[in-house]
Amino acid sequence: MNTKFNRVLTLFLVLVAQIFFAQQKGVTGIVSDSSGALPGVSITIEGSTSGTETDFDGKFTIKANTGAILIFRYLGYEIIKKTVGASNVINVKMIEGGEELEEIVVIGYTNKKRGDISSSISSVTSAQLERQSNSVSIDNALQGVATGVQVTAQNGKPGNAAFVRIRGIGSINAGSEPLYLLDGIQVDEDAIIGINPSDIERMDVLKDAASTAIYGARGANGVVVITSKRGKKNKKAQIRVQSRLGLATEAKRNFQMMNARQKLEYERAVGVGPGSTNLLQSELDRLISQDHDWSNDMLKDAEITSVNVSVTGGDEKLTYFMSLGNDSNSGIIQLIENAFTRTSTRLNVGYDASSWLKLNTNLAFSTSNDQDPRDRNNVQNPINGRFTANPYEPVYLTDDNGERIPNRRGLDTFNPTHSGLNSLAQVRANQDDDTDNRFFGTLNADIKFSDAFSYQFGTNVSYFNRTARGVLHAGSALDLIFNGTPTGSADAFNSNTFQYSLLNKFNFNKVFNEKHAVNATAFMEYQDWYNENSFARSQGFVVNGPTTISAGATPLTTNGSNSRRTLYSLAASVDYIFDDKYIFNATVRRDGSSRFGANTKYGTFYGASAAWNIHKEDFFSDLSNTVNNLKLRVNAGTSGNDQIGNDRSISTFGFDAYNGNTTSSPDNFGDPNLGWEQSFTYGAGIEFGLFNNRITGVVDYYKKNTTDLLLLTPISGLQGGSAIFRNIGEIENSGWEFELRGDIIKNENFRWNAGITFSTYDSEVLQLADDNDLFVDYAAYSGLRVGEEVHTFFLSRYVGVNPANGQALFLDENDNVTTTNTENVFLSGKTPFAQFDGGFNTSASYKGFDLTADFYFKGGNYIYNAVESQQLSDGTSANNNQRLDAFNYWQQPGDTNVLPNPVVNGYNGTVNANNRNVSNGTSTRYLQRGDYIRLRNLQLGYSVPSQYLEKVPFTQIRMYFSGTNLWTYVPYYKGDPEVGIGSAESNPGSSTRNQIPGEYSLNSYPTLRTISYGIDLKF
Amino acid sequence: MKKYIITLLILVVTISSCDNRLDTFPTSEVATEEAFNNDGAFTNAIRGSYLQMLGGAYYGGAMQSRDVLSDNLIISREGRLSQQARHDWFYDQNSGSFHLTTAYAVIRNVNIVLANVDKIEAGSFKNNIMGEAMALRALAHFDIIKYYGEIPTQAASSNTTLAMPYITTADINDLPSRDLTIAEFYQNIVDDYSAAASLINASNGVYQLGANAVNGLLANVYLHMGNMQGAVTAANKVTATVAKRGTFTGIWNDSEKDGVIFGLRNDDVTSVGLGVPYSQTAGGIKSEYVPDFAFYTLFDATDIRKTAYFETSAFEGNIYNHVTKWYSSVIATSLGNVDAKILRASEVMLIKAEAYAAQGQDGPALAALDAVRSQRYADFTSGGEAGSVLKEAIQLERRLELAFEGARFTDIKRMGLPVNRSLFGHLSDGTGQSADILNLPAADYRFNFPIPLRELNLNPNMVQSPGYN
Repeated sequence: MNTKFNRVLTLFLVLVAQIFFAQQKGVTGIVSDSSGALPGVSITIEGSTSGTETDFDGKFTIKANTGAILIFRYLGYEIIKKTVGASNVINVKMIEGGEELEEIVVIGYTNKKRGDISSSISSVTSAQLERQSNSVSIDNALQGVATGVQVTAQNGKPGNAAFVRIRGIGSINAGSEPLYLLDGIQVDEDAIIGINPSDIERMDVLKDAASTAIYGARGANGVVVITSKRGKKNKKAQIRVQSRLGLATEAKRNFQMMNARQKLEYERAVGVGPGSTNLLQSELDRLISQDHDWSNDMLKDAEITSVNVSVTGGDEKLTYFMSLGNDSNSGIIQLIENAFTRTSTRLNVGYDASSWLKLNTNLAFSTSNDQDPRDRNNVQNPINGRFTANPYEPVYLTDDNGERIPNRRGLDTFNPTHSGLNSLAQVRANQDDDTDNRFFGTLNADIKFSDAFSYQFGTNVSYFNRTARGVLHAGSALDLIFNGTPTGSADAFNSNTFQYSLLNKFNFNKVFNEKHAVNATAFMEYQDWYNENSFARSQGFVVNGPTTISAGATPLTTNGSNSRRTLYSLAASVDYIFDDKYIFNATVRRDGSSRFGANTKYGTFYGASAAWNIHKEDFFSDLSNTVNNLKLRVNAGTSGNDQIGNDRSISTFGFDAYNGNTTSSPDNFGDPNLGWEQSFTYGAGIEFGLFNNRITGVVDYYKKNTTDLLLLTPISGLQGGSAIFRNIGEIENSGWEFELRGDIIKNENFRWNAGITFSTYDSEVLQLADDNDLFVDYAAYSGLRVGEEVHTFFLSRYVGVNPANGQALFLDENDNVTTTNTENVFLSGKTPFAQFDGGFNTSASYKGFDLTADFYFKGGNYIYNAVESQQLSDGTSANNNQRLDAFNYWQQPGDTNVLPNPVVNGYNGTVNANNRNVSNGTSTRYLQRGDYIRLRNLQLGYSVPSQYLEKVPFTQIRMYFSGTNLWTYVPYYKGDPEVGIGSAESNPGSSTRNQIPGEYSLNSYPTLRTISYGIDLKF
Repeated sequence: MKKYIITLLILVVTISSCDNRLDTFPTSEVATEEAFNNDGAFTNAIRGSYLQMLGGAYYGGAMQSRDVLSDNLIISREGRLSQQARHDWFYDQNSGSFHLTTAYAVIRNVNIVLANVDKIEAGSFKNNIMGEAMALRALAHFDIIKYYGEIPTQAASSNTTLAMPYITTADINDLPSRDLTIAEFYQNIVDDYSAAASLINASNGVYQLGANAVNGLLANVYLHMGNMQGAVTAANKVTATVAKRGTFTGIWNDSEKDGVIFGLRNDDVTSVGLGVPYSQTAGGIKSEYVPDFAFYTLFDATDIRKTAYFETSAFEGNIYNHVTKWYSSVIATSLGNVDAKILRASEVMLIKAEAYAAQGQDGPALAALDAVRSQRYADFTSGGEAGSVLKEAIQLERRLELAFEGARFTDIKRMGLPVNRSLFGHLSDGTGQSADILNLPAADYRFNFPIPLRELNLNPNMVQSPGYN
């Protein structure tokens, strides 16, 4: 300790001395990082223009006065300052992870320095991703980090993607998901899971039309540009091993179900089930003694493992990054061994083939497997079944001696319970197993004609293969329900999607007269996507025999289809920057798409933006020590949305079979004039940095107007129902986005920074078909009306119970109190979408320790709590287990603030025999505000200080504990507030991607709480 | 120089290869304008309409289970309580579209066929296509109006009340209105059937409509209109004979077709769970609905239908009279996956009996009635009934013969009667729990189904049926 103090004191004295005795001399040294010498590090003398760079061996020489301060900078490393002292040798060890020299933002067709950007773009870097070890899906990492981006996990199932909605809901029937590009390859939202987050360098979210116009017909919902990691030139190979082990459970529930005694008592009160019959005391005691919580029987702790190995580096001509990763998560459903596993590999290589030719290739392959429980609103789904089965019903059937009874397959028979089917029997017997193989490949060749003029040929390919197998075991409970005798069935689904694109791009980049920087790009792109799939089912299997389709006695169903999508585009973009102060950008793109009508295949999109770097103005120089960055941006532009299925503009007949013969019938009704859905966005923003960027902030405002909506206009049921896509309608989204970050404490040992993001969202329907209210088929509880917000809830209004008799009361359309619940009204301002959301992120480090915490909050959204309607059912679902607070019903005149009286409102009651259906029917009684704040991520890490690493082969050892969803505050909603999918299979619109995220909750896979331990080694 | 040549080469290769690829088409389908290019295409499209008809919301279970609205069935408390609200006549505009949309989809499909039919050369093939299409159109409209409007015989004023749109053109943009009266609507049905009867083949097999089916269905329409002479005339054109007692049971497991004039084939490929509204199997038959015990006791011990329609067996400790009329089939694997039997010769015979009796012709009426009864009861001897006793006997036989086929509710309705369920419980001996709601008063508005909200929302010309506002 004493010696250490002496050393510091000495250093200090030396420092002081040198200020007084400054003199110029030659200083040399070696700059290295954790893996060795670091070439290309820039060294400048503070307050002067002179500087140099390290050579290939990391050596440098510079002339400097004693007392001068040398600044060492290298992209991706912290800036280091050293004072020239008595010694002529200064060796420096650079530390990774600092602020970059200037961030390069990847906009897709071009890359730009942050300072040169005139658009609204949010970014997430690998450093941020690494501190969020919670998800195997990278889209989750945007939650609470990127402003204006609402991210809602589809559900808690391992391996499920998230709903990402950039700047509100851009569309009603066309998709609202952003365009995802992985190194330029278009990736569907549900294929994001094929990407290993550890391979990702950064994600840039392009939010305004000035930056998305270059993506033309696909850009209207925003663009997420995902860039994979690449090697750096002249760097020794760095091997990295990341490993993590974790356990997950269902996130803590904020409601309680009844136990056996309580349930039997409730049954007696409402006159339903065994509790309502004249049970002998001994029988009652026996039932009570069987009490158990079905959640414990149907759920388990999930085991999570994750291992990643990567090697990266480069020499003067070649860079490389390669990785191999494996993730697995057993999930929390009993009897499902592996909810999700993924193995992924990647090889990214860059090579300078000649002075004018650069080649780049990225190749990635991943295979993932998932096994799902049914996600539907009945007991086939264990998330439903655990609330349905009563706590006094045992798990297994037993004989008089208490021995479990074997079933036809020789396995212990699960008690079918009062519902007729035990979810566990279903999970065991009806297995679903999906394997997805995904290949992503890009190849780029850059040809340099001159310093200013270059050409790039790019091609990318993705191949996606899914094989899904479903088995219903012969002799299982569900099989016997369907077929009476052991039959069994199996099906196989196979789908192949091949996508490729070709890009020819010219670029001109030159600075004229030192002040006029021009960067112009023009390109032609062609994209072709083709899918072919087949499905077969057979039945008649041997009990406990093989379960592939060919082992079935009878082939049943065979299906197959194919479709193609093509996109042909021409585009140009020009940037002009004057003296780094005034930035202008203009973009135009013309797209032709196979998805649209014969008469409307082509559309043209424009974007323009401008920015003013105020801090670079002369008049600002007085302030520039305080305000080091101040930029004003404005933008406007158009972009399109093509996210309808393929071939929706053509009318077709499809084929089927009847009585052994071919049939045909109308399949799709198409509009030959079907065109783009077009968004016009304008906005403005301010970016600022104070005290040498110790405090940074961004404020943005936008307004997005979407016209010619791709509206799935319902066809009258008297014309056979269904719906047709038409360009009708207009909606508007607007909002504010705030971002503030600060380095609160920043010194050698202790660093603490914090950031907050906050976004507001507002929407309005401006026009619909004939301005009629629209009820889209996939919406369960909401509708669209001109003047209201998008997907405003449409329900009858519950106003509590009549204190005199406990009858449920509602309002009719004219606000009169009534006892029927049939008059639905639009509930202005109540939608499934948050009015605001944001995040609070903070991290602190002290010596080797680091602590990161991410909070996410959102509010102003409403959720229809369909689960509660089953659990506080006024007796209509009293056969099933109920929530404990179902007891809180009306019991005597004068009771207020209680649930409706299940007796008066019951079938055997006197007022109106149908009332129980009324009080428990669909109404605002079950509509709840969804506000919450959640500690999404908490991570405590320790990095072994470098001085202890000299004797071991490692250059970094970091260990951490991490927890996700450890704490949540939910003031109004009963259940987990992060609701995405209501019920994947029981949703009216059926397709997951069509669901309105968070409209209702109905026993989809619960959100998980995870605790994990990880280690991160570099050598 | 080299780099320019390479660039040029790439450009030429990549740009020329993506010309004109913006027109795509799914290879598993055809464009609508090409869907009627040859005769076979018309045959396919007609068959497509039968397949549509077999949808779960129409003849794939829903129509057969309309007895839950009547006094033939009561809910089984240990079932899944499906259709409970309908059983209690608790439905409103939010209760979905019943069979409305599927029946109109059949109508749309045949209207598309009829719109294209002049692409075929005149002749018997064309006539048969037109005949089937028009008969299907009439049948679907009749199935709609029976449930969505009053029946002409229901009350004196019924003929002038609100009907539904009678759709004869295929334009998905049309927003039809309810400007026809009941009388006009029924006349359209009669016109379509009459035209079809003269065009259609004598037989197209049991699983497609033929002349016998059209005449039998037309007789049923006349019966509902109160045109008893028309009913007799049409019924007399039907040449099919009533199913024999010995083959009767086999009809219901699809091993026999005796007496079946028109049905829909439901094999493992179509795989429609037609019997699911009645029961499932879970270690025994788990009934959703069981016969009202008062009705069950009407089946005589010598009645072959008692064994053909019911199985009395235990489920989880209780014994029930399960309805097994739509339970299993020799041609399909899954339980409940059975053919839809839509028109049988016995029904035509009973229509004839009722129509004769209504005209005071007791002799021919009794003969027609006995044609059915003699094939149902062991050692049958005619009761020789006459007058009102005969009429009652005909109605009883109709209720027994057509039980669980959906006829009972509209039979009560067309005679202007109330639905009265017994106080018996749901177990095999009449104990257990009775239906919650026992009566639907005569002429109650709930004899007509409500227009679904979706339709009212998107079609400004549509009006709700009386009573639902």
